[in-house]
Amino acid sequence: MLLFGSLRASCLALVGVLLLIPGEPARAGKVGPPRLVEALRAQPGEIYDYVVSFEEDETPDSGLAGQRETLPLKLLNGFAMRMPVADAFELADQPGIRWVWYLHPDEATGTIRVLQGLDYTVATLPLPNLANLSLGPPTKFYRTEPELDAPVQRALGAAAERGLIAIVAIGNTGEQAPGYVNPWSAPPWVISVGAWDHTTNAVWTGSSTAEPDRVDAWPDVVAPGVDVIGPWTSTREKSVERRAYDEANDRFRTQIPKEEQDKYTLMTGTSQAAAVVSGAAAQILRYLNGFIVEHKTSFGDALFELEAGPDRMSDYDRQAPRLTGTATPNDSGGMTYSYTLDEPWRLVKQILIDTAIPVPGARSWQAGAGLVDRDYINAQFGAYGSEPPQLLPVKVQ
Amino acid sequence: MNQLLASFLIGAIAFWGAFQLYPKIFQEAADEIAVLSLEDTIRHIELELAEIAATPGDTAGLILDTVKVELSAQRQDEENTTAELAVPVFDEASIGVDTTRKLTRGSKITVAFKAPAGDELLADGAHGELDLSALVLAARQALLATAKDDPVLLPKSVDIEVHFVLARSVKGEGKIKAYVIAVGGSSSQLDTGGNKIVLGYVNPLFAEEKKDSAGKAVPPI
Repeated sequence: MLLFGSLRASCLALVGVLLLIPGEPARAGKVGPPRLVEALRAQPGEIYDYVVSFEEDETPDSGLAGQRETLPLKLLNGFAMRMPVADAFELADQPGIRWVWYLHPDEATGTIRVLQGLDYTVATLPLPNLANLSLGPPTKFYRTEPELDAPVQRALGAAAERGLIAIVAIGNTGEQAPGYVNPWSAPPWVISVGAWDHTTNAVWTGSSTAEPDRVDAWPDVVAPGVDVIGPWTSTREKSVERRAYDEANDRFRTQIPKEEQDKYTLMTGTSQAAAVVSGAAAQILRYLNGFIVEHKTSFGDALFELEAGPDRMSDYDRQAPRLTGTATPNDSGGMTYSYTLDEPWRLVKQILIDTAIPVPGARSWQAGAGLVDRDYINAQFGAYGSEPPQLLPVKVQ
Repeated sequence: MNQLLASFLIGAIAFWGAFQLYPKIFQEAADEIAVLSLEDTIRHIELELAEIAATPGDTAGLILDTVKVELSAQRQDEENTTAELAVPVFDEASIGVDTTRKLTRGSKITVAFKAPAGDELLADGAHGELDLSALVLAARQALLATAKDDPVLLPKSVDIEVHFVLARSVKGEGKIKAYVIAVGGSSSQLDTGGNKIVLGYVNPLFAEEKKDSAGKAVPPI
């Protein structure tokens, strides 16, 4: 089904050349978010947290913050700071300021920590690489439409430019807030993951779903996310309820020896699905790295082709614009996908989409391109070895 | 209506439990002042919250929105660079704790919780000392049990309050435990000597309806 072929090799190629710039988010004025500007103007004396970003050719000048404390944010070429609303508007008018973004008190700390974490990750990991973001802002900040100008979304874009591929859980609000998704999952330069329920053979009802007409907020793919076996911390005992739930599960009892069952547990959610997709994406990235080094491929060169039968075609394939490569109908009723060396996030995301298995009964706004098949990915992209799971010492200074 | 009924039930339990324990608690002065690590305390609470969030089951669409922890600090050790609070600690006997009961469930956290009298109404088998997560899950279960009656109403928000006092074991174990004196109550007399954890659950669909009760400017959202 999958046919790899080196179509052309040229010059020296390093993994690092897999970098390109994702589309710059649309500007929305200097103070954001635009939808809250008037409400903020009505509270000139209130003190809130903001992210301040400078123009790309400017060096962030913390002197503009006066005596106030600032936290540097490298990916956004700026800093975070706390100040009265009136000062934020005044700062936004200063030369060299790109934008000033207000953070609600309930999202400020988490948002700033994630921005610092992305800075740290990009600065310390060899790139290209992956980041599993099984997190998002509090659910009351979930949105029906992508807000690509917001700081985390912009930082994820800047990280993607540098080779960091973000896999983001779409959220677990499918039952109580249909149409609302984790806003960090929405940018086109991240991979948005929903959860699949193998017990019902359907999209997990808790998996957040966008409005059917908001293609830009759909999940890209789904992956098993119900009763996923994962590690349990050694620092505390399971509750009675959790222990009973685990031990009532046939798969858990079968796969985990009795004496090891305190070390594992069953968990459900799009975070678990995002972890599964992260493993698949890591395998694809490993293959791409090996292929590029072996064939000395340069940016823009053809890589390989992939033959997909009609069983891997979905509505998503016909509605969502391709990120990279070409898709040509073949004689079998399926598609022939041709890939060229492009930005890492485009290649990995498009391959995940192209190889996903369409899920019967689920619409694209629920399941995206379909179910990621980790075994299939391992088999088809295993020529350069397997990508073992690993824990990285990520911390925020 | 169902939510109101659940709140009433929880509140009734709380007041009954508080009524039983209140005189014993506040007629006695605190036996000592102990210093708690705020960092450890918060870490324990985070672990409990993680357990609640990860516990399978119907949540009626409610998602944890806010956590408020109120401790009745007596003084703050300004010379100590670590974040610590000094809080009153009672003798177990002074608050009528039955020390013959054994801890049969819960996690290995330093702070353990004891269910108030009448805890049988919260969950089957919920006797003896309870951890916070089990207590909150039991309250959630009680809420859901009523919310499924017709007419079914969509819960908008629920605040679960856990009032507790700290006590040192009479067995000389040197261990300070937290004993729940009320769940769901908000009686002002409890504020004078007790501590409180409030877990605010909201339905995201109605999150924007939450108003700042203090009348301060509401941050735009």
